[in-house]
Amino acid sequence: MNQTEEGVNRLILSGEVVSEPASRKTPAGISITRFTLQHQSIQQEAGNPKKVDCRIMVTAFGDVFHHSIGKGAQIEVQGFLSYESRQKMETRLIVHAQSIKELKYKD
Amino acid sequence: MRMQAQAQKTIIRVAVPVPLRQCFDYLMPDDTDPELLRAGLRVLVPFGRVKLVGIIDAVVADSSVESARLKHAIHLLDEKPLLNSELMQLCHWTSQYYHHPLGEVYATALPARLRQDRPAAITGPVAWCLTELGRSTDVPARAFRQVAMMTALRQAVDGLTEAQLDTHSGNWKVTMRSLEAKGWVECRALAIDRAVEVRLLEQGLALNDAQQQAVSKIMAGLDRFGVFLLHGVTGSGKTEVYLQTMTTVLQQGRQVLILVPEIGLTPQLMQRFKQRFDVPMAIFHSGLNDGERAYNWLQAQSGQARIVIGTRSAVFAAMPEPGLIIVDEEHDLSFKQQDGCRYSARDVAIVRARHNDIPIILGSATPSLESIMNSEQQRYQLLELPERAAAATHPAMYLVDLKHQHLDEGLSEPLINKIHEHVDSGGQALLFLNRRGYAPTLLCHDCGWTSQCQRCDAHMTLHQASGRLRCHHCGSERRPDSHCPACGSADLRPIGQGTERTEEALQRLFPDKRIARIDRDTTRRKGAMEQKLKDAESGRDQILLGTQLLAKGHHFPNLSLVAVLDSDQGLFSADFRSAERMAQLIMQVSGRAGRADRAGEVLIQTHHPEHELLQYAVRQDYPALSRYLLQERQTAQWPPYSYLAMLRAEATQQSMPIQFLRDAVTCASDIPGSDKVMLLGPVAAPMEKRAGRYRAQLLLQSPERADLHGLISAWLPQIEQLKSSRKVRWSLDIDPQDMF
Repeated sequence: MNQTEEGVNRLILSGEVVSEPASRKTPAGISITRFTLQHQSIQQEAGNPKKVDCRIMVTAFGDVFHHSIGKGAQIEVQGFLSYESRQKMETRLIVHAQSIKELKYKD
Repeated sequence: MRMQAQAQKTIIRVAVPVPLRQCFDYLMPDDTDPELLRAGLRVLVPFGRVKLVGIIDAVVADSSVESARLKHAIHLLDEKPLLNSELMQLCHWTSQYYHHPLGEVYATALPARLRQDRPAAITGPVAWCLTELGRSTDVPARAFRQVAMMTALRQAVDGLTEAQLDTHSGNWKVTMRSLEAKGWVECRALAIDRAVEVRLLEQGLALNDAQQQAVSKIMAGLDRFGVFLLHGVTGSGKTEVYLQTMTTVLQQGRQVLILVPEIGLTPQLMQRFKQRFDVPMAIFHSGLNDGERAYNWLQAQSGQARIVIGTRSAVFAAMPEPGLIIVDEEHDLSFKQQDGCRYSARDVAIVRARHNDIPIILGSATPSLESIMNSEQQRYQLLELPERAAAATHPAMYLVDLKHQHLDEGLSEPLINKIHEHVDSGGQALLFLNRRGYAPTLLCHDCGWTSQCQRCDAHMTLHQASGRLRCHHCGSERRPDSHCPACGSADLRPIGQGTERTEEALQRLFPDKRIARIDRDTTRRKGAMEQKLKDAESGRDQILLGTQLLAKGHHFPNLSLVAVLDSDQGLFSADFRSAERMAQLIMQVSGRAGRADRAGEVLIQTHHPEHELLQYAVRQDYPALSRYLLQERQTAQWPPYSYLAMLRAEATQQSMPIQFLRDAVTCASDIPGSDKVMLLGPVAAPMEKRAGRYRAQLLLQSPERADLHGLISAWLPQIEQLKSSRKVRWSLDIDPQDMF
């Protein structure tokens, strides 16, 4: 498979922020925030509803993350998937958020 | 004309400051009395299209150039030789030993202002006196100001200084000028009576046995050449030995020359001299402007300054009556000039002492291996001061094994606890980290890219406070990248610890303590260093964090804990001298701890606590440490067991330096005796690219100094003829201190 700019990598995932978001700044002044997102939903599979659980690390650069978002917030993340570190070629995946929407309702 | 020229010496052989290994013959300037021609005079000569100030190296009757082709020198700058024969002899030796053009060596010896076409006038203290004419003149009574002035001058035998005249009358200058115009008064440089007794401002301190022995041994050798290696641990009272020996030499009416690594860093030593002696001193250091430097040089040259103190270049200070030379911290690297004429001030000083048949003292807590070997072979007389002079005891030293330790920004837990312990009980801690900036590099967490300098084979250091990436090798700088140029990631992280980052960690760990960072970045402003040191000395700052700027000669009375944060960088390096330097550094910074009434503690963080070098350093056993290092050198046949010279070349094109050095090797192989010298290389320099230029080097090594220099003497003229030599910048370094 060749790497092209047109390759598709798009993910929309909602859930609860379950770790306190940790921010730091790069020397160039860009803030990097990381937190864990806990997702729960019911999805259709083989004609049946199925309960889905997953937990994944999210990283957000610059203005994508709002400081109003804290542990316990319900959000919807739109972004793409990547290895956590390209250097070690780890198999652990991480979501790079391109936009984060705060959801008002609680379930 | 020609007959006359032979009978009278009218041709001057001039050393001009150009990179050519020869002097040039000129006819003496028109309207000059041949009797006035002397070696050591400065002279302005036409050279190609420019005029240069050169030094008359010799006055001769005949030239190998036919006289019709000789040019006339333009004019003499001095009436009396600026350089005496002693200094000229020293410059000749330096030129020969370092294989450097004589004209450029003379230029090194002279301060910048005296290399220009202007007279060498001492614009120091002057006195106004009556002339012969003035003494026999009666001033008309109506010019009452002039009468008053003449009367005052008549009463003052030695004339009146400007300071005295200022108290006499507010606008004496106007009156004086009209008297001067009449030829009744003149201005003379203030003569200093040499016979004047050397006034001691304070009595010498009582000496302990070791100091007493050292002083008597040096005193017994004051009338002849001899090298004394004064090995005294920090605080053992080397300075008092200097002071008491100097007293005798000064009282004999002779001058003392003292070389120190860096004046700004040794204010306490200066203070001691000023407290003890009421004699004129000439001090040379990098903070002087050209005028001050020239004035001081002339003070030394005229014999008015009795004590001459300075950094490296002061070794060439002209002195009519040298009686003693002292090189303090003789192991220090700064005594070796790193560009131009690459001389070692310590070695030149020893030669100067020999030429003058006077003693020289090399003082250090950690003498260089060269000097230690010389003392073992009885060439130098070893004088040891094993005890600390004051009541203080040796500090307790510990190694902290960093393996498996959790480090908080380079600080281990045992170290953090120790800092708490000392600072909470009113002590002061000094942390030593020889790396300024925030972090030595910026790393892309995603792909491993690092911030390289585009002009050097080196990383760019992150300076957080100023928000810049800086190359510490060529000085280029830029803003930190916002995204990795290789993969586009914004996740760029500072890697490694610099002083700025450690300071940040200390502020977090010790929020209620005063922390001072002392490195080149925080002391850039004029006076900033002095202020920082003052605050540190007063004990106001409880935690001091510094680079090697802090390693030398400061005395912090309250200091109780010293820590070396990273001792590993010196243990494993491409340079065979780095171990010696790291060991010296550890011993030096350790010497800072607990000097007064407080027992000090020293912590050394390392990943290799078992390393022999660190073991010796911890036991404060410099003799054993130097034996170990000397053994290592002997096995590898490094200096002082062999002699080195380094031919370096650089060019913007990568292939050129190597090509030139290869050609140089080919030249050398045809020279008789070349089999006695090993030619190692050429190889690319350990940091090949620096400031946009590629660098390569060729190392020459021989067990015999004479063989090495014999080869070089025959070799250099051939190298200069090489075509490839014109496409590179090259230099020869005798006894190189730096393998980079």
